[in-house]
Amino acid sequence: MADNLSLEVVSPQGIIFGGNVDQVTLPTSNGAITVLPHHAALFTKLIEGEIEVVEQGKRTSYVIAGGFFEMNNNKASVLSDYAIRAESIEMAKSEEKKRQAEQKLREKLTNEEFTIADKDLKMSILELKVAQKVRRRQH
Amino acid sequence: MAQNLQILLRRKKTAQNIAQIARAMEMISASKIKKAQSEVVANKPYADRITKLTSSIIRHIDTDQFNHPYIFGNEAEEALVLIISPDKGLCGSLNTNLFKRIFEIDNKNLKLIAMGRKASQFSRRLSGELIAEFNIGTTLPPYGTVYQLIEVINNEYIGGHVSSFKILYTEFTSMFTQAPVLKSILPIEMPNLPTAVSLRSQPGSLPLAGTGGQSAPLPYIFEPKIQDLLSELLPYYLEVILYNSLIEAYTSEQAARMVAMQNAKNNALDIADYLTLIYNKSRQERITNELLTLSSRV
Repeated sequence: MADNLSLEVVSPQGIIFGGNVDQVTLPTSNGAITVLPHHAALFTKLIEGEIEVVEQGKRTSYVIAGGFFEMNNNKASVLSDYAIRAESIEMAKSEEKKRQAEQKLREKLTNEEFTIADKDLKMSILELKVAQKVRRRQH
Repeated sequence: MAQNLQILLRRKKTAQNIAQIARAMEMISASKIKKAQSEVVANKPYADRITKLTSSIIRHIDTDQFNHPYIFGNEAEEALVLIISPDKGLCGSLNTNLFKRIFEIDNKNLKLIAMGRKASQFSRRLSGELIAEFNIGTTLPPYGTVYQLIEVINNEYIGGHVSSFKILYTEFTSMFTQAPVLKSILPIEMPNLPTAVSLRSQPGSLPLAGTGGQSAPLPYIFEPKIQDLLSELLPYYLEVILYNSLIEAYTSEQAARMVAMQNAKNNALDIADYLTLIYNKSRQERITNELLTLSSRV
């Protein structure tokens, strides 16, 4: 217990991850940071990217679409719009999402629609990248 | 007597028809509620955390150093209330209870936003000014609805026309209990803790683990600047709260309708049973009477 920090990854789809971890690497707006147990109280903004969790020496990855990170009293929480475990990313689904977003971007769009499509595209590319990386690690 | 039987038969059929319609509506709601309920259950921890985080961050900062409008109210006299109701009735006492709630507060200086057709109908009868109305629809409200609401709210609130913003909606606790709640959203309430720790905390000093527990706030490190963070966090907080209220209101509607329709169906079936009994009895009576007349003639 002494060398752990408790981490929660929460998104509107529910609690994606919860447990004691050795360390966690997060994509912040100032670059990636790694948080170790007993880190000072910290509050920061996350950008879309990959979260890497080390739990008992095992690495797992999550993809998030931006959000906030808070650490206090050795309790860390990641709050994000969207979060998915790298293993549960379905390549085909992400490909489809990417294709759709690209097609949408080609059409004439209002500002709001453009932002949504752009974000979708970024997310799907990111998902694909992380999924590939995880797969490579396993083989 | 003969006519009486005809009428009885007709009434019996009416009751059975109503039972059938009620059953269909119950089943529609039952199928909708499954999805809605899981959405609410999944979204709740997220909304709770965001609320908790926001209030704990606000507690930790020196609020004199910036004046984000979401933290400080303004001098306007009027208050803005968003009422979230169903578009349709036939959901038990949900609407009545919801609207009763507004009379409990002072409804003089109010500006209203109505979400749901029932809310706009009701708001027109109030003395307050109805500034916007939306329909909630019959499916789970999409996230995009929130942005339309925020636009109106920001116009009023940041524009300084209203001093506070509240949401009136029906909170979903379980299938059988839904209670109307009036939540104050803006300005974000300060937790009553005296110490606002300066935001220029020393990044080098490690907090001593285990000192004081939750109640003694440790100085936070903010990265990037707290001003930038807050201007991201606070609008986001509003978004999350609004979305959560929307889906809770929607789920409550479906739950209330399902229970109401279940009761309606049972009552209609009871009446149909009762009418069947009466009908059979009077038919038997008529036959007996006819037999009596026949036998007395012989």
